[in-house]
Amino acid sequence: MNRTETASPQEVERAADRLARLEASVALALVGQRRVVRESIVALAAAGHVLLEGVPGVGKTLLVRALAAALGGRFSRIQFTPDLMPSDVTGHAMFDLKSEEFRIRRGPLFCNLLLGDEINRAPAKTQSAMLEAMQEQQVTIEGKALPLPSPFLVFATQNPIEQEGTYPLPQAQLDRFLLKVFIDYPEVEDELALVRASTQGKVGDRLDTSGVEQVCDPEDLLDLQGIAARLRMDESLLDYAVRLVRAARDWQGIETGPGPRASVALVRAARGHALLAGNGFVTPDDVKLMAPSVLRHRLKLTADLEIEGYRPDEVLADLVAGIPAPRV
Amino acid sequence: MEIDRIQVALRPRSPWEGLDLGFALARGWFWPLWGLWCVGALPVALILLPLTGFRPDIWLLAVWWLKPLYEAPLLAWSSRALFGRVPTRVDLPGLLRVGWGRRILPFLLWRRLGPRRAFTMPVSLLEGLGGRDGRQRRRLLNEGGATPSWLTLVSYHFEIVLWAAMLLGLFFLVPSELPRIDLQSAVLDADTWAYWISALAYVLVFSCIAPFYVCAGFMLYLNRRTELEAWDLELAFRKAAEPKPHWTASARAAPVLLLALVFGAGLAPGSAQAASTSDLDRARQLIQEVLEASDFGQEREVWVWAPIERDEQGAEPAETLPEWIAAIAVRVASTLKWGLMALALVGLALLARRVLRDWRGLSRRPPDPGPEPVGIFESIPEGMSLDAIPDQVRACLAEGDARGALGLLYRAALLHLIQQGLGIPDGATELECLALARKRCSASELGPLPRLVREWRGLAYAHVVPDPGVIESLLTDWCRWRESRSTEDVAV
Repeated sequence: MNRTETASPQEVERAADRLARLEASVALALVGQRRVVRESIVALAAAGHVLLEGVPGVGKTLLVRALAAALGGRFSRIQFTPDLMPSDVTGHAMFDLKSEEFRIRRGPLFCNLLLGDEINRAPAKTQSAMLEAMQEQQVTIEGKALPLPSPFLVFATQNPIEQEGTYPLPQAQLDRFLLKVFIDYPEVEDELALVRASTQGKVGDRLDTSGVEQVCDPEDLLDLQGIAARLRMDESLLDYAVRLVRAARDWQGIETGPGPRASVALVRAARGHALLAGNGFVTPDDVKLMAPSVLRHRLKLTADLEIEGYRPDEVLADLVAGIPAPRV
Repeated sequence: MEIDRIQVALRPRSPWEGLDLGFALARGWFWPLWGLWCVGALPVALILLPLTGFRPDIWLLAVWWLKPLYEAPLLAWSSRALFGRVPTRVDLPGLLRVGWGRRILPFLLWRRLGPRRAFTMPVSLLEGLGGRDGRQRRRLLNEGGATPSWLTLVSYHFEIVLWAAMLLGLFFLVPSELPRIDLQSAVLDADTWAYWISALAYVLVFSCIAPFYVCAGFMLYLNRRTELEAWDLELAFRKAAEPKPHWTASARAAPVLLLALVFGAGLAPGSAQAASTSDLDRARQLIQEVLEASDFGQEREVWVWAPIERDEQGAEPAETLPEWIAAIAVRVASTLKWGLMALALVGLALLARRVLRDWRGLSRRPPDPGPEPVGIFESIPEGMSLDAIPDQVRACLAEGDARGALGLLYRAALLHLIQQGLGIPDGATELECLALARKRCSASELGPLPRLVREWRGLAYAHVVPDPGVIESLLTDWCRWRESRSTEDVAV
């Protein structure tokens, strides 16, 4: 198939249907977090990594487990701790006494979906071990580059409170995440439904993903990602996305703005969103809706605004509202 | 100042005793003084509310900063009441005139944070001295020593303690069924009602402390003047000069009176000159007799504890710093002092800038519009009116430029809505524009807009070119819609 050819309506319809079923399946496990589930599915379609941020107990780990159950494929989980070593993540070479030669023992990175729980609890050295995997989809052990399975997606979580003893992710690492998704407390009705579903006839507090049906396998996901990448995108929208990112870079209240990788990420996320919406083409609404999740972790506010209590989302809301949408 | 009408016993007192006397006076006069404080402060506080944009933090800062303005009438009141003329309501304008004259200005500006304010206010306001004279006078009074500073420091601490006690009282004593005050919001979050309560509590607290602060400062001032100008002796003179019907030069009273005359003659010559020459001769004679009496010229042995001195031979000379080190230390200290003052000034300037910026609502600076924004108005060819749009659309269609025709029609529809008073931000997408229009108009009033938006999105982003007939139909509907909307406006 020609990579530049746009996706056909049939392909778009099939992919949108598959994504909708995926979304519905995950939503069965994670009650009341529709936006979070939707953004996670967008990241899957756009083949991007996700940084999930939320206080303990709102379902970050459950979301990823439910995604893994719905996707099939190989799932790994790494609990990041201060004493975690890079080789614990990537793998290492060990001497096999039986065969009397070095053998590569592959780490948990070799999977389709990786849950990096509390990623900011590991020191920078260990966090950096993931850079190569996230960007180049390969791991180098003992000088040998080993490709990771496709698709390879990282869902990392971090907790905004209890910052003592944590290592904030470096900007280079943050930039590798396509989206940063906030998980907030559910609404009262959703929480009620969640408590009811989690306690009726259940013993203990094990994360329950038994209701999640496997909707596709890794091959299907690669196919969906291919369709998303071939959605039609008008030049005016590319211009709009770049203008948004450049405005965030030049805005006076922002000390460090997003780089060109952010423009690329915004376009990819917009394509994923358009596919999930069932459109065969990207619209300005897709770009605008995805802008906060794509940009919020790639910019650093000035000390002035931080002291005044501004959050990146507030700044981005002002910024997005002020950038003219395409009209011609 | 009529010293002989003073309501307290004048005698040399230590500054701490002076403070104590001030507090005792404030307790006695608390209610009139507090009422006077409220009369001065309430109008100012109310005027400041709109001026500070109803922001409790800035309002509290302004009310706090203007404290000398409400304390000055209290000082004027105390100065009159102490000398036996307790002011009444009729005297209120006079009190305010004394307190709110031009001499109060320094206390609202550069002397506002001075720790000796309670002591120096009487010099400026009651004696009416300013500039060089005021400086000399304050120097003569030695600025009251360190006690006025302690008074200010302790008063601030009392304010804080009382304020915290009030807040904690509200927090712990309000029943849990009622809305409870959030202590964190009460101290930090200026957007909450709790902060307003906290600010009002603080104002109430410093209104209660003010009478004590003013009276204590005033008594320190009087105490110092008594010490320097021997008011107590002058008073004793005056009493002595008064005709006493039962005056008999008794053996016990005479020496005391004469002693007072002797010292009074030395310290207060102006008053002493009132005595006649014959009295002086008699006084000298009496003094001579007193000095020759058995109370004088006797030797008395007194035992006291004294430290045992070290053997001088074994004593080491006290270590002193070499002069050059002392000079360096003085230079460093001086540099540090000026550096800190400069830093404080810069800090104040930054604070003022931030407050001003917040006040003007400039904290949210508009984003950089980026390269060449294309707004709705700019997207219509220059000089083209809405009346010319149909011809232009048809011209585009004739040239086979469907995108140009439909785009122009879409933008003209937005422009028409804007002219009808609908606010459409530059950043609004097609669907957002439609949603805004739906909020304002009924479905029938929207005319061809939903269809136009759908066709335009399909063409612009999906590159699906509609049939020219569809665009023609949309153009016809657009013209009809525009005319009907204009007619409605005229009818309205």
